[in-house]
Amino acid sequence: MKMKERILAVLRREKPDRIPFTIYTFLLPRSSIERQLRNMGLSLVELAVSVYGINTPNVKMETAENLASFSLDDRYTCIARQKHTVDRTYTTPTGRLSDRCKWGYAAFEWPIEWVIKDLGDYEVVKYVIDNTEYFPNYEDFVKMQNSMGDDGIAVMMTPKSPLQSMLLDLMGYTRFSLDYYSRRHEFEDLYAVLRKKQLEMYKIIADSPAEVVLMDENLNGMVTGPKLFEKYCMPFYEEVAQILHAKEKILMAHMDGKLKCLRDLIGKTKIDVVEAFTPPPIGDLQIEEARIAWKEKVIWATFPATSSLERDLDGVEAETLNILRRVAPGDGFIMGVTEDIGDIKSTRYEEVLAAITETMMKHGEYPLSERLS
Amino acid sequence: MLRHGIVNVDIVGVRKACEDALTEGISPLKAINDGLLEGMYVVGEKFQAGEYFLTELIAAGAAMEEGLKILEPHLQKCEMRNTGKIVLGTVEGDLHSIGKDIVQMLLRTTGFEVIDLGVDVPAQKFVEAVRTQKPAILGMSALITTTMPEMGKVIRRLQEAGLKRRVKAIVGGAPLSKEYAETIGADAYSPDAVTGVEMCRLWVKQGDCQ
Repeated sequence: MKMKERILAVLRREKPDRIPFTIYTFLLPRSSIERQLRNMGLSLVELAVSVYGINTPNVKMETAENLASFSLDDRYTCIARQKHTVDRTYTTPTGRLSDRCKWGYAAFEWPIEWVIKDLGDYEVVKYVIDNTEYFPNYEDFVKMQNSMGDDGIAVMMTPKSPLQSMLLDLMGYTRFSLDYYSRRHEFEDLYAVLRKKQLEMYKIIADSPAEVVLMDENLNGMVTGPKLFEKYCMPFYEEVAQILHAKEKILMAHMDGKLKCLRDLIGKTKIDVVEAFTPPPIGDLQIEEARIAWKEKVIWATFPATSSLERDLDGVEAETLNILRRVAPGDGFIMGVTEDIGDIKSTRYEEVLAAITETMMKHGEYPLSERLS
Repeated sequence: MLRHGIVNVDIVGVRKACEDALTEGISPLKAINDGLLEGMYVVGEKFQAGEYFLTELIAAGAAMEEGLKILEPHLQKCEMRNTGKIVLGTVEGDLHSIGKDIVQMLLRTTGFEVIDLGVDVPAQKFVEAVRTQKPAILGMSALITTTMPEMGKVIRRLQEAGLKRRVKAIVGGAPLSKEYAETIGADAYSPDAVTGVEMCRLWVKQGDCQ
């Protein structure tokens, strides 16, 4: 099987020839090593391009970027990236908003000041969301799919679901917690507007050429908790899954936090793939337990960063084998790199990726044996 | 009612119960200790047991702060709560704040004065805070494996500046371990927020901190 075909086979619950090993393109800068790793069998996952465009009439957005100066060698390190901040202001007929982001460790924006700072901001945020118009814009995505060829897959990455978006993008968890308990009316109103607009967006995605949709949930059970997850996230996943499954799209959710307290609830959702599943010590759910609880779902697990940093290359190989043994025979399983597993510019990083790739190619043939050595 | 209000995360109810306590002539210190603090201990236990989550913890902490705003102005000077001073932060390169914020919330509610340096804090900023704020304890957090070494860097800088003897250093974060904490010269590793706060309280109680 070619790499794209192999990934899609697992996502569709068909049998692959071997367990895929993938990496986000932004974690693998273009180089001769990158080409070598791809030739060895490391598959790419591209998240950068959308299938829709956005208009926000009556909302004027201004952006000021504070570019940090750092050396070319440092451009991929998280410390250098985070010196780069972006200030945005949104002017609307109902008022003004502002937020500030840093570049996060995975090259995404990470809010450090949220748009909702007090009660008055709710109405303005609702105005901005309600005045957002989505329109199909498939061309760039198709180009990306074509340029990716058989080296991996282009994934349509969508915003967090309404609750997670309120929690992580719009207000931060301190205000989120206070407002949930003391301003429930405003909280629910904002949730309803977000839900309505996101469902419009998913209808466009459903008609798009994207085969795989990744909801950028960043779910952490310790923060969201079962009560809120059940009340808000689960019904929303159900609605989105209905829209996407009707057009044979695969729905994935980026769930890279502690999931033990949500284990059974996640099992009941209509999500097809738990992406970026993170085992202990960063996560708190063992992979065997997750596979038993989520029999109907594909688990796309991240290679544990602690192993890649703390072990020598033999140890990295041993950890790769250990994971393969634990998921044998390997149905519905993909191994990926979805977070920094070292300093990207270092030789060590390339060596770790090569060690995992080599082991996956040598021992990752489907079905896996529990007696791998 | 105070304890009940905190445990049930009823911010408005706590405010009213504090005002009622003062009207009824209940000692503000008793209201704080037997009402607000007792409630927060229950919330902490429920959090530890996985019955409560971050949302409940933060909102209960906010309810307690609201209550303190009403009760503290009525305390006698000798009754003012001050368990000790602690400087907290997430190390440079790391924008994760959840663990640090949980610890901060629990420390504040148990009477610590907390200087929160925020996230992505450079080593030198920690050193300056120890120099100028003179805390009893320094707490550092990291959630990314690639930023863990920053903790060791801070401790080395404190040693070089002759400040390490003045302050106890406690570290926490999912990728850390007791062994790692020992290798970087930290005084303690905390596997979770509640244990960390207990450790800080114990240090202060035993007079282990300067």
